[in-house]
Amino acid sequence: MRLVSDILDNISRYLLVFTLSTMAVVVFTQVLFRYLLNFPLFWTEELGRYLLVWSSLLGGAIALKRHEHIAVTFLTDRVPKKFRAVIGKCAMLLIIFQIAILTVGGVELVYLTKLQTSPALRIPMALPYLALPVGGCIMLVHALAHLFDPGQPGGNDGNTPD
Amino acid sequence: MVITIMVISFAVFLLMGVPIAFVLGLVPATTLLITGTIDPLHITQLAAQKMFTGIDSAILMAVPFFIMAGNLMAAGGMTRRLLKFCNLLVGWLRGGLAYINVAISMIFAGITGAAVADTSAVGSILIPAMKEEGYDVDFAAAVTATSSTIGPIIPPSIPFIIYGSLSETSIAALFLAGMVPGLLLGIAMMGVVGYFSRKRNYPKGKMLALKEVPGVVVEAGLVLILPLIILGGILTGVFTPTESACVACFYALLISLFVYKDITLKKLQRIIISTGATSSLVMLVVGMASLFSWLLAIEEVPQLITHLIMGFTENKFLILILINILLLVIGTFMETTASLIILTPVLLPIVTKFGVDPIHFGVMMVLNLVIGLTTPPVGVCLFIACSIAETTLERVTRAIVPFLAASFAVLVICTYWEWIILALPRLFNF
Repeated sequence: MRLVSDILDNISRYLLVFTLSTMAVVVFTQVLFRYLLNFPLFWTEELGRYLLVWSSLLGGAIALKRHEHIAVTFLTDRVPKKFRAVIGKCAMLLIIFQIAILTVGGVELVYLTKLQTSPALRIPMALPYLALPVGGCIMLVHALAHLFDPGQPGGNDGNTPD
Repeated sequence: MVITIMVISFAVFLLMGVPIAFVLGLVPATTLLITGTIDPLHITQLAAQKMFTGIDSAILMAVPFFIMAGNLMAAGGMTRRLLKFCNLLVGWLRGGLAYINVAISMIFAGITGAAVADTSAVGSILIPAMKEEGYDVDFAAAVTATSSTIGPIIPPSIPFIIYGSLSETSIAALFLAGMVPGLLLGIAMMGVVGYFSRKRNYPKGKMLALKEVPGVVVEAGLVLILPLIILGGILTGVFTPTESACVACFYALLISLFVYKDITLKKLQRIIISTGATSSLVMLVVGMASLFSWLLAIEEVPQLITHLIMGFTENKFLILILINILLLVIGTFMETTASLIILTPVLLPIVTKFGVDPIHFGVMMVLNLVIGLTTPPVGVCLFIACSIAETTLERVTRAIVPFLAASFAVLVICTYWEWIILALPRLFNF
């Protein structure tokens, strides 16, 4: 499970660099075309929004892998060590439950919208919606890896990376 | 019944240490499952749908962009160059480094919208420097943590973007409204710094040699243009807030790559990944909270609370004070974005009923919640400053009291005299 989680983490890092930098380029192009070429593009905003959804879910998975999601830990920090591990496991189970809900819901949405196309880009709506089940599955693997092999302490007080 | 389940499950999940983003998703999901009003397959679909529409917003694209601009600045040599510039401005005063700490936070605030990046970027350079020059470590940590809370008040600001998108108020107007309170915060903190520097006889910095001045000003000037591009672009209507954030990123990137030459492609990749991870912390909270807010609205919770408050008092100022106290308590325990998302739809209808301007209320709310970032027991900025300074929370808590008092004073002033906040946006016809 650790191994799968590490591999997925690496892949999602590359995907995230791609989605986030494309999003920046797309919005920048939107400004350039409007002012320099006097030719406003109609599809850039939509593409940017969909890339934001993808980036958020991929980033969310990476943050989950690194225990970066902000949690309130002042109570769990004060209970005896033995309890802390048990509470940590329960919390992780709850996280898994929530991710499962999103993943299942995401699959349903992709299935329901398989014939729809987006208003501006005319791409299948399943493409942006796919971010939910894909991101959900990656998070699920990370969470399961944390559950069975809790190497690092769980929870974070909101320290941002780097 | 529904509200009871929501409150209890919220408290239990949060105290168990479940991350706030997931708590916000779990509470409505379990509530709907227990009450059984909607069948389970429909709940999953609703949760996913709300999550998607919550994130799928052009305004919110500004969040990763403003975080990226801040990260680029912290990673590149911009922070160092701005420090030199601040040294020129206030370094020669008694307690110079402490003044520099506040001043650079105010400039940093004009580029990025988050407080936490500021604490770590400024703190990791200035806290060791202050230690070396004989400042008390606790004082150094306290200045760093409190001054970084100016970040989300002086525009651009991520909390304002989120408040604006929730309350449908103009983000440009909110940005303008944050300027005066942000400056007041800075001045108040410099006042505290001045008092303690004289009392404890902290060292003065060196005056810069006159021939060095032009170089420092020009180098810093390249960074100082950024806030002008961002604000000017938004106010003149050239850019949307999102576009201005994006342009800021490219400007910072170009300067770091070609003028300062201190960012490699490898480093850039790391910056992008950490930007994605950090902004997703906000974005997941936003996404998960949309089902939560939907359920609150369905259950008519805002109306319920309005009735509750109106039975107690109908005085506008008294209500604002009550809300301030409530927000301060919540702000110490909960993260800013999550509090904003949950509370804005609940509190805004109440205060507008009593004639409070949504822009005034937004600034007040954000001011309140960021003060919570530095109040014990769970102030995020406080933790970071403590770990950089290698001191304990208990000791910094004592050092931070005068700074907190200054912040509270600004909060009370801004709550009572609404024109302090509203004058600038009115001037620009918002």
